[in-house]
Amino acid sequence: MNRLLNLVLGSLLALPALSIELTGKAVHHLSGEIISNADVYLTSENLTSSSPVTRTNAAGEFTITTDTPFELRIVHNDYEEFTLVALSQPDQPWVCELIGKDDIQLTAEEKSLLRSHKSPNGDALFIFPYRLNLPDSDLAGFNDLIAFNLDMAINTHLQTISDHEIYVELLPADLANRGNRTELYGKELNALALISGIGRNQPNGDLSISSKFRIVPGRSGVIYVLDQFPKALVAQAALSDKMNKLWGDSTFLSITIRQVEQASAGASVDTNKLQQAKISLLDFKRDLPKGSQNLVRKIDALLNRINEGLGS
Amino acid sequence: MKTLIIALLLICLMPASGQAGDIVTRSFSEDVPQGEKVLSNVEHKALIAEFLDPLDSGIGKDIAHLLWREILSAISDQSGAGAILARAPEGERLLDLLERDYHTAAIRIAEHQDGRMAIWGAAFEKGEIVYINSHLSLVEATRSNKIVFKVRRSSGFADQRGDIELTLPRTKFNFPLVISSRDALFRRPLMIDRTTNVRAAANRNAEKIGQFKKGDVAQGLDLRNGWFKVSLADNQTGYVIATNIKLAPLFALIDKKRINLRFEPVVSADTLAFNSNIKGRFRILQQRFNGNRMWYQIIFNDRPVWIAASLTETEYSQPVVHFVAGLYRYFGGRNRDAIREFQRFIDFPGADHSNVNLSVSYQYQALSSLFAGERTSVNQQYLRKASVQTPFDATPYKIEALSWIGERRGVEQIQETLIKINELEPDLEKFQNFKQTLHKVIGMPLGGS
Repeated sequence: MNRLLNLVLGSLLALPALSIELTGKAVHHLSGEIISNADVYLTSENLTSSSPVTRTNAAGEFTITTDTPFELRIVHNDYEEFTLVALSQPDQPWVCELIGKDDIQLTAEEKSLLRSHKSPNGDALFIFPYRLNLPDSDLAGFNDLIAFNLDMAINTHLQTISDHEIYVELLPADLANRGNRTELYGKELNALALISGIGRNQPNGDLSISSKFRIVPGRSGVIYVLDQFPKALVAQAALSDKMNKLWGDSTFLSITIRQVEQASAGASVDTNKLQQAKISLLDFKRDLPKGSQNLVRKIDALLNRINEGLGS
Repeated sequence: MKTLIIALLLICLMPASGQAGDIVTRSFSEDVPQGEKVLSNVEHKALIAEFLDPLDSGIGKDIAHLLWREILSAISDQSGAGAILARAPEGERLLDLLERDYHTAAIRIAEHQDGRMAIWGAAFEKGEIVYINSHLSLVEATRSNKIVFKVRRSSGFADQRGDIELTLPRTKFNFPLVISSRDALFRRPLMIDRTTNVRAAANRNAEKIGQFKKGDVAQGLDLRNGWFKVSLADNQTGYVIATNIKLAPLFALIDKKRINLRFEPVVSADTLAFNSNIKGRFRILQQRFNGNRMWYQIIFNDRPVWIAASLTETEYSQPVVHFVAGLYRYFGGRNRDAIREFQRFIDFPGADHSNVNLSVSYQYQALSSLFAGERTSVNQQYLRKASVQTPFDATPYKIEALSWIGERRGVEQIQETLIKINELEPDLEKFQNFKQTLHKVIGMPLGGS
């Protein structure tokens, strides 16, 4: 599912291609230890690499030249691979945090903290409170509004194309403050996706916010969105309309692909689930804008797979 | 030989679709479902729900009142059209329903009060700035457009008649964020619609300090909780209830080559500008109905002047008002007005419309144009624009196929369009049904698959 989801998510980014040179650095997500000799795989509109395009050097760094959107995978024997789909050019050097295989276990304390938030049906998006340079009271208000806005934006978007529903939960700050452990929490929470963000003040008074939307399960399908807007608009915490649509579409595809996988997983095919997924995908495809041919091809491939399951 | 003769005879007798002089009329069929339960005196009704208000400033209620009065003003000349404030089913709370279920809840609310649609959303007020996210939910029955075609032949062949059902797929709309201010939204002229008391505070029990008569114009300063704050003589202020107010549009958009600007709202009044070329976006100071015409007062060259409303396009506070007005006009058969309202929506300044909303607007323009009897080339302009916005949607091509009925060489054009529909319509059965219905109306077999 992860591979399929990545391929489809990558095609969501129907933006004008931007050619960039990207410098990245692979580090261990907890200790910050540099990870050298890791393989770097790159996939973009014009390239699908089955072999690594480069490797991280002794300083854990690598440089690639590519067009946005692109998908990056970093693989090392002792670490889980790091995969993400890039919407736009990130800050450089881009720090890629890999989780060591030994670090995957959560502590008993962490499990206890997460238990009360766990989603029974896997239909939740969890927000780790954004870390912004705002007074505490403003920050609390901002994060409350983020949760409200995202719940409304994503669900109203989903409702125009499907029967899917999700809920958005803002997690307590003490979970967010555990740094990069948050990446491990998705499976424990039975989350559909994790959202977090950090912000920086710009010299002109604007706030630059980098938001991360990570599809779960697995460590694939992370979408970074970089926003910059006047501080006055922070109060509304709407982020960008386009981002809401992008995250709404990503949520829809995650749910639908999961639906297809679940329908095909049992001893016999669940044709009702497949049929629901098919209807939703057709509605989604119908609403796609100009320039979505790449995504349409992938949707059609998914539809063919569904039709095979339906015996049609 | 006999078979050949009969075949030739049949071919000669078969009516050709599209002869010069054929008259094609198209209309909604009489048994179109108008909504589940519609009050007999108001055929087309919208519900406006209090907007969600997470910062709890009261702005949610104020935006709902504003939209309610603006929509009513926009459709005030259309019989059988109305809008009311929404209320929740018994035992439920409106805002709780909407916050939980969004469009699903809005549709339930609309059906509960026998409406065709619900307008709702969320509003935030921080300091001077107001942020508004609005949404529109249509009940299921609005999706269906059962169109009756009557082709009156000029050539001696039998007249043709057929019903075609065209389903517009979308019933839920999310509109772009509007950023405004209380001043921009609520500081505006108010047209008093009936005798109304002016009160010292914003409630019915407050002291009465004055009265406005129907036709008076008051200067609104703010709107809170269903009451407009108005300015009075001697720098005093008072409050009037919003239900007795009509709101003029915010702006008049003028782009005319020969237009008169008059000092009074009457045709015989002296003019500031006569037969002049005027173009611009002007804030409307007041509106008045006089001599069977609506007039707007604007400022031109620093002077207040009046212009006939029929010579202007208008702009309200938010794009959703124009989209909803367009739907009202479309449902009510006011086809040319529908085209104009959807154009106002499309052209709304600063609105970052989604491709889907734009496509739907063009599709409604094309359908309105079809019903208005416009040439196929006019319909095609709208449909091309719709296809650009949603290139994987078969609906614009279906509308195009309908627009070729009765046209010269219509069959060939329909056949070409059917090829495109076949590529895009995922449901083979729906495609075949559509094709067969076209065949019945045209009276000729069609290829295209």
